[in-house]
Amino acid sequence: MRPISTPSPRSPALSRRTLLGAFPLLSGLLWPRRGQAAVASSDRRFLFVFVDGGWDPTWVFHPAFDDPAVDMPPDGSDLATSGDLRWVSGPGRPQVDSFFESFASDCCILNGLEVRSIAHERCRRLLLTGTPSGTGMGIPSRLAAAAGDDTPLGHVVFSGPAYVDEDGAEVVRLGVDGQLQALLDGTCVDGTDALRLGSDTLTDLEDAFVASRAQAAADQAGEVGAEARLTGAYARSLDRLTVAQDNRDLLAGGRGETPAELAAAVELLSSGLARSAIVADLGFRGERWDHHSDLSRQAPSYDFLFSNLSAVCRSMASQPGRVADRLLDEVTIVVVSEMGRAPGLNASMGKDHWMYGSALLIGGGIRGGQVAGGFLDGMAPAALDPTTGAPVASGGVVPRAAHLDATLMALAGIDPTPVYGEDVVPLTGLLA
Amino acid sequence: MSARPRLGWTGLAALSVLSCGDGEFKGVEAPAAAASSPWVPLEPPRLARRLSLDLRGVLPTSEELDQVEADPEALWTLREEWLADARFEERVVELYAERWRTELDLFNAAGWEFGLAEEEEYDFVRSVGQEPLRLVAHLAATDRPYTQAVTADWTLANPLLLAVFPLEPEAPTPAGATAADWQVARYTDGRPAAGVLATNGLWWRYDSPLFNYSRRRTAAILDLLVCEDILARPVSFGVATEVSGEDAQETILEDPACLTCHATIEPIAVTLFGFQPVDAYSAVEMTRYHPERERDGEATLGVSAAWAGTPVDGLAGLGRAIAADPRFVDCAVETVASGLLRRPVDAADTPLLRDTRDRFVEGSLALRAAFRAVTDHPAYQAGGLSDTAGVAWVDRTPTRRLLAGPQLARAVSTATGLVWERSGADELDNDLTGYRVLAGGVDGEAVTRPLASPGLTYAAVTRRLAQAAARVAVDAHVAGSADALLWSDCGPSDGPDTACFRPALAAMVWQLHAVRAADPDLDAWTDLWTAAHDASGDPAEAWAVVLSALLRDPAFLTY
Repeated sequence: MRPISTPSPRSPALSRRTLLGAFPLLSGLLWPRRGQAAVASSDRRFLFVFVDGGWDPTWVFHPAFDDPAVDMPPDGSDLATSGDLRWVSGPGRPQVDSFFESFASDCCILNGLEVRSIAHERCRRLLLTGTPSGTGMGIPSRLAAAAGDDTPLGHVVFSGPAYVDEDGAEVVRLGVDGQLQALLDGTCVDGTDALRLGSDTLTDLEDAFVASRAQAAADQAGEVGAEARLTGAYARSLDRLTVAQDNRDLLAGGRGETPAELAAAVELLSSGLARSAIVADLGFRGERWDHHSDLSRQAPSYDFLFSNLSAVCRSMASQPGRVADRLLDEVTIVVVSEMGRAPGLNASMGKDHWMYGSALLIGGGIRGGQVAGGFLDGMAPAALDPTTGAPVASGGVVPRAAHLDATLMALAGIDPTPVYGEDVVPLTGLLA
Repeated sequence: MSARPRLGWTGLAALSVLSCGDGEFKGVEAPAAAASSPWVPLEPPRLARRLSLDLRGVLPTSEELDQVEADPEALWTLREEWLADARFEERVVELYAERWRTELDLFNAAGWEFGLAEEEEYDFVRSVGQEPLRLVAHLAATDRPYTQAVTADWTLANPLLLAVFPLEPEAPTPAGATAADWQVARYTDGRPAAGVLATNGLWWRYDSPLFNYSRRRTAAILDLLVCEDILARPVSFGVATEVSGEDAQETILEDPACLTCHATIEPIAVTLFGFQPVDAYSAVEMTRYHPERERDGEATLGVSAAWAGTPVDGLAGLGRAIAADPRFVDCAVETVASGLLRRPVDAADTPLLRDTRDRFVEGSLALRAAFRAVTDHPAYQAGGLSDTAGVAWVDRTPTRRLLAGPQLARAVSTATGLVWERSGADELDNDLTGYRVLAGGVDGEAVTRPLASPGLTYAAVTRRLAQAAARVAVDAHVAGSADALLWSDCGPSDGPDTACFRPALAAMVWQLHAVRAADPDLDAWTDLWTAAHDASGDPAEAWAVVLSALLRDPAFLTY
């Protein structure tokens, strides 16, 4: 067993970068826990930010300056801290520091997250479903499904992957070109030859008639079994269509513009109509994060990502939630990428795929100001104590997507045992 | 956990024990023992509708429904006609598209790189994705043995692929041929005879990063052709396994954790080096096979080519080995069965799978034999569950299917004349501008199963689809077009006060839902017509509202 690497201050410059002094009242273990009204599980909502292409944790999350097996950013990057939270600070991505300066106490970095593949498509599926086979319902959909009609729009996909099992009724896809809104406002037939729709009055008439027929079919099918689920789902989908129609401005999406999509997602989650939402971050200039060459392009992508996260958190911190003072205390932001990147540079000065990565959890229900888990030398994953999040030399668990899912399920008041069994425990050390 | 147990069913006898031992699934028997079956059969006209949608992708005609209503046995004659219908080939393409997931909207190369116009882009990407599907569908339509899917020295191509890929058609391409016109063709770049394994379409879909050395493609072969999901194997990498740098390949071949999968993967990946590009994004590299790179495989991966432990001679040898593997046939049966049942199959479906396999083999591995076998089974023909079905059965077994994706699009289009296109793209068959996934279809990447249970987006699509389709049909009727498909004697201005109204309404319900509408139902549809007429003052619009509501009715959207 290799020793657990413990990043340590490396130079006087480090202390200048150490941000503890910048905001002592909010820093470290001395921070007073923010006064919160009790946020019930049912009040919790989730915003997933999916970093598309595979981020390199060494540019922010994993300060492996002491590990010779790891090629750290060659740009003068250094360790920065805020209380127990440590990150890699460097030029070209000032928004990272700016973000943590403001929101470190809301953030938990999870390092050493195991994905078990190095193929993008497979990793996305493994990460977002939590299952070894990558089949079944996605984590955001599962969270939404448990909420039922309390959040009629379920899981809203602004962009990025969304997986369903044989059900799939909980997922509301806006479409990459705003297709859902076009369907809702009737512009979907614009630009086609000779297609037209009925007037709003006739549509209302028709909607009411179809809804009554669907409800009658659902009533006839009863309440139990697959048939009942099918007919009941159609009746419910028509009810939800009405909700969507009435709130279609919230479902405009951002047409691929990440900041706009995130802003729309915040507004939607604030409305309480959706339990979860996902937005893809395609990196700087939309080039994705898959930097097999010229790894330095991670810097502007991280800068872009954290600029967006700052905007989201500022927005959520400045508006009240249902019961809490801040919406940010009710919404958990889950920032993940489908994989990490290898410890060493390749011949093209990029990094190839790596089956271990990081996640960033922010906001509602999260014990902020900490780094959970870790990497061993060579960026192998460290096992952690699920109750504290701290790396352990023996025992413990190597965190996988299933653990992350179980943790979010616990936060949402859902028992993860029926899905994952007894062996996959929530990482309660990550939770407030 | 909601996921059903996967069927690893090379030994069907063992599964039979599993099935019977469970107790909950004990009632499943072969068709001959229907007395103890948990299935309640669908009414013959509704079963005709299901079969027609599954085999042709369209609704049965009123005349066909009449035939089945008068003589239910006529259905089996009709089934043979539908299996011989040209649209059966399209349905095989659609069913395999759900399983093989090759119909992406974007590949690493685009049509403009080959000089194609922007309005040809949709046809081009769909053609690339359909190449391997068309090969299988051609086997099905011509009753050739399914093994040719991995041994054929030919493929299928349309004019777009013939223009872009190094292909030579078997016969001259007819003048005026379009992207919908496929024909047998052969690659001219020296690639081995290996059926879909030698198609650009499959490998454009399942590309493999340069350093990945075709391992991803190997995983696809195992998944698509023998239904083995190698990435689902339980592996514990532990904390000591380090796979990086120059020693990575050595580690992969020596570390027990890695060998769990790579002992299977590497000998297969070796055979694919003729497709190994030097630039994964080069259109030229992606288009051509490279025989000179075939030998690089063994040197790079350090193993010899083999399938399931048996040495093979290159890609053609791999194809022959797969064709001889019993799992290949099992997987085809599973693909057809799950495609027709519209749900994943599992151990409880063993009797159906066993019977289908037997008949598939007896039928010289012609896919039509498998389609016949599945559609003969009570599980396929079920319209409900009997009281003898256990709670677990009731909970897990839908006997009605959701009409979604390409089936929905084709059923509506053929019934009404709707064509929903924009800039050359079928709006019901793409996700960049259109509504494929929102309508319950499969995009091949993020959405890999057709929708089984309707949600908000499905309701939103079907509403607009129905409204637009209804007005296409009504407008054609008003214009007196021969394409007015749903009316017979009644005119567009005829209302409830005319003698033809009620029969016309009943005929519409019959054609669209395959049920004889009861009087209260006809009263309700009549009331809707009247309300719409009162609101619009236009009888044609009132008909459009009624037709749209018929298309959105649960009886239309399920089958």
